[in-house]
Amino acid sequence: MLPSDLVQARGLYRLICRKPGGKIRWKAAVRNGVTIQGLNHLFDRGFRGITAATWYAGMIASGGFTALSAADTAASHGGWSEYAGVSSRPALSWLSASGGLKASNGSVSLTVTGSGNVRGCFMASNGTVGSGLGVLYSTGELDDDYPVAVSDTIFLTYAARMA
Amino acid sequence: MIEIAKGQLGRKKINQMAAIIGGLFEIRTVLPDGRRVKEQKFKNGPTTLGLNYLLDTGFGGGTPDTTWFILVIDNASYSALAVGDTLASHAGWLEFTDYSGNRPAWTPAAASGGQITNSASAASITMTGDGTIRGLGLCGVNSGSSGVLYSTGVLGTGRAVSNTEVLELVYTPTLTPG
Repeated sequence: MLPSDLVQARGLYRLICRKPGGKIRWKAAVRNGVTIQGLNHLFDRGFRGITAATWYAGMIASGGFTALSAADTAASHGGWSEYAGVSSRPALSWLSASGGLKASNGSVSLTVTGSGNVRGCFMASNGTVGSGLGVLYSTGELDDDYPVAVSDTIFLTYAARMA
Repeated sequence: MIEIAKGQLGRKKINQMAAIIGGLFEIRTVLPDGRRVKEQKFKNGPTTLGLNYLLDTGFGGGTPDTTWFILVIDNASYSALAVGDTLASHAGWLEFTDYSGNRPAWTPAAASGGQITNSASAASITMTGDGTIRGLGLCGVNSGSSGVLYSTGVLGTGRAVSNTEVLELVYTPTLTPG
């Protein structure tokens, strides 16, 4: 196969929200949009050796949501706010890349501490809920508002493909 | 609490397009008086190994090369580039080495706007013989075949070079949000 001058970088979040008993409340697959801040990080890390990032998953709130933007950063994202009713932003671990595919090593889980609705998810380099520090790598928007309740668990995986 | 009906499970929405991984190589000819008389730009193609490298270093598990170098592809014996090319194995082309020193360093400024470039500090080579070159590549070592070959690109036809001619080489990989 000849090298292409237009390789596509895609990403996919898979989410499953389970009730305390384990029954599925909802599940969804969301294609992501990588931010300019995230793309710059990829190049700076790969070609200039800047400090490696640990990537953490967070949820986007339905309340106040208008839109995602490629210009969003961890510090500034005018179209959405983080869903604060989760216990933490869990850190993802990764399998080695192969064939242009990089996938998380299994899922991470977010425990819901406050009932409400979520509209999406994101991946950032800071692990504190509500923090505007670090790099916002990507965001993904669900097709609707999805309800979560206290003691639910949201399981999240992410896979990036360049091909 | 609203329950999502079973029939609605697995809904997905393509809400954002893929980012495009592109890039341009550029060859500038430098005259003895310092003038640049020709600029040729051509697109790059990342190798599979290069894409894996970018993913591994960006997400975890990969140690980045902090110095990168530009290699020159010979027109002689050139047939094709391949996504499976590596520094150690590239059946469709040979490296052109008739210039002084090792592969020149590619020293980019910090990435901005989804691109990273050495445009402000172009790599330079001085030819030590006549020949014809076909393209350029970016790799992680200044000599030998043990490093990562990130990308390659070729001109539509070969470009003649002559002894003592000085070329400046610029490379700008891009990642454009969809």
